[in-house]
Amino acid sequence: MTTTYREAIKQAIRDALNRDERVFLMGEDVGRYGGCYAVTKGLLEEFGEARIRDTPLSESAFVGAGIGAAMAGLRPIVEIMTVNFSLLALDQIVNNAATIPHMSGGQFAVPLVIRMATGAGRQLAAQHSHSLEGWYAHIPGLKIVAPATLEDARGMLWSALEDPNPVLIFEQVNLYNMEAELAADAGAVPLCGAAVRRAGRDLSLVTYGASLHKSLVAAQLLATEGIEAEVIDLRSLRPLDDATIMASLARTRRILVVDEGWRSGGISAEICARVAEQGFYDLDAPPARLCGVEVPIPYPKHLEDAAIPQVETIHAAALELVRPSGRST
Amino acid sequence: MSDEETIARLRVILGDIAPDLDVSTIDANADLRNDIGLDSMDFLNFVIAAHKRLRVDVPEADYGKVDSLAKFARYIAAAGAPG
Amino acid sequence: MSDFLMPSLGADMEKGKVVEWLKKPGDPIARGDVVAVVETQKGAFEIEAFEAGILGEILVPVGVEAPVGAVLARIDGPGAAPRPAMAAPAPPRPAIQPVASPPPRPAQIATGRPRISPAAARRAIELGVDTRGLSGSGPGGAIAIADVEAAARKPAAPQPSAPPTGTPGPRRGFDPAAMRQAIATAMARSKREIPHYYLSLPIDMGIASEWLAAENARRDVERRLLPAALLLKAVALALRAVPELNGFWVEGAPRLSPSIHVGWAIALRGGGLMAPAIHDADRLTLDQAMAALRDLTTRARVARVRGSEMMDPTVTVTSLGERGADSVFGVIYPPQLAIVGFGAPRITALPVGDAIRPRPVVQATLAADHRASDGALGSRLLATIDRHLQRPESL
Repeated sequence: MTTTYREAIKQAIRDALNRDERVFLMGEDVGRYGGCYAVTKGLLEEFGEARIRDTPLSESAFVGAGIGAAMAGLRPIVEIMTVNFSLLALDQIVNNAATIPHMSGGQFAVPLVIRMATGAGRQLAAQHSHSLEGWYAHIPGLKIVAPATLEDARGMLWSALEDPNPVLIFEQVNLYNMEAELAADAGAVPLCGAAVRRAGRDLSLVTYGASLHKSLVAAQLLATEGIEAEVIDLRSLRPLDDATIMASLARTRRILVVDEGWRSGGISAEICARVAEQGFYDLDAPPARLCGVEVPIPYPKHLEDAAIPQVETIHAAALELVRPSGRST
Repeated sequence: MSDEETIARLRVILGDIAPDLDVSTIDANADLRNDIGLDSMDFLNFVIAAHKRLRVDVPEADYGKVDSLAKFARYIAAAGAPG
Repeated sequence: MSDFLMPSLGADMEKGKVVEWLKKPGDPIARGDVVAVVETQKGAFEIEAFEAGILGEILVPVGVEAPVGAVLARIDGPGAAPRPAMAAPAPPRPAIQPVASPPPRPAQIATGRPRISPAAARRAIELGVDTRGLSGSGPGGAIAIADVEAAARKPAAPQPSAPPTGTPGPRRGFDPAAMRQAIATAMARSKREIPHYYLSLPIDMGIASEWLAAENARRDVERRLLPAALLLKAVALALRAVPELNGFWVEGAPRLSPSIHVGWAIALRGGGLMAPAIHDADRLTLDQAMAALRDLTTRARVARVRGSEMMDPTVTVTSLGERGADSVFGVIYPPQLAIVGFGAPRITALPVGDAIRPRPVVQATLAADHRASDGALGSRLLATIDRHLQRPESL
């Protein structure tokens, strides 16, 4: 059936609530308002206030409550409106959720799931539009996933709840309205392992989230010019699936990482470093990155578009890697 | 067959067994072993090839009588081998 | 599928140039088939396949040098579908203007070094392509794989066609200067690394000569034997009794060979020499040994020696033949353990019983690696060779 990314997440939440009575959802405006991106609309009526809980506007408090609930045996799903607001809970996430399993010598698991929206493209300006998932991927003790397809949106939540570690799910805001086919019996998918979404021989486009779909369109454009791009959906930013990346590089010998996040110190920097470490002798061109421009995401539409990778810029960067300008073969 | 003709035919035969030699310029009086550099295997092969192509039998004891193209031609003439 | 590799035709060989492919992609290959001719400093050698199959992609075209161990071609398993030699060329690039400006290029640092991608550098080594002077099509003008492969497809220089049989001409792949260099390298290494010891023993060849003369007198000219066949066989049999001198010095220890492959030194008239193997020489009859010597000498003259024959001699024999110097103290061909030499026979006054008699005497010599053996053992080898040569009928 055809449905939306938003609906796929809602189904996943509903399924988890039905499947396990320890599961509950909390966050700002998730109940009566139905979620600021309308993901949880209708769940309050269906499951009641005990399991769909509106929280005060205090990320530190409700993320901390989620950690406590997880340690005490519940399976909380905490929604944070956007990744920007998650910084208010940074101490809870980085100092507590990520460390308690280690500092307790494994006595306490933190089976907490935090969902949050990320990314630019909806004219919400700098304080609502950044892509900080690469930051979180720096933290040992967390698992960081970024579902880019309906299957992953539907399937990663349950796997995240089953995982004894805190898992952060990043939902790019432009994906919520994306429509696609989703099998009625779609179920859990593993959290780790990148997916080759398109096979190719001339270069590897390594990306995740909303940039996946832009990269796939760019790959179609490139194909009309005789360039076959392989497109890899990372799916998980921590752990990174080095093997899939290196195997693709061995086939194509050129790599372009496409990432909405800022270039300096970003997840794309980490990927390029691993490519240099593990795939150096396979490289036929320097590893390349196409990242967000290093500015706070602007509000005006044209500037916002210019600040993050787009189909045209991905196409141009790929072309530059395979057929450098002024040096057509 | 004159000695000259026999020498010419011996040159062709020598060229076959020693293709690395420019047989057309070899002095007919040069010693095939010492001057031209045939080793004992080359020389035996030469004798065998001459036997096949010119129907001349050179016993081992006579090797010293055929150690240049000119001497070989005279040996063939003396043996009365049919050309 | 297996790989058809550039073989090592001696310890001093680093690379070789493919000068001829005798099979083309899709051709069936039997084990032992000569697939290609490779030119080294020592001349051209025929390289055989060690596995049966179908010749797949040829990776190193004619005229291109490749290092030892490089994959020259693929051999697909028996019955495998033949594969195309080359990938289909990419369609031409349509004129398309990028909609957006290209992303910033990495800062270019003028190092003065040639810019070549790591993968292209590796490919260049595989294909033996000299990347100096190549123009790069990669980012920043760097040399990319495509540039290396394009260079490899261009033959380096036209090869002179093989002269027809019977007419003089340059030997295929024979470069006297290059061979001189190869000999220089191997012999310098030998004298630098191997502590040689030398022994000599005059051997009375009277009985052997008489036996040979009688034998040849009753044989057709085609079946005549040379003394070389007796010497070859005598050395091979003696090495069976003294196996400590048959093999190699590898990583600080002798590695003896169960097989006796005698490298027979053949002087080339253009200068230089080679010592290809006569395999399992101890198991050949005299007629077989004679045939093997003839075959090898003939092929050495026209540069048709096989790669495998260069690879596996376990000992070397150098015989000066019936004319020339009295004795030869050889230089061991590394990493072998010994070289046996035979001088030209001389009529020498020898005591035979109570009388002095003129006898044909050959000086047999041994140069051996003192790291692996001592003089007493070497003495035994020469004495055993002598004993065999006194009973030619049993060789």
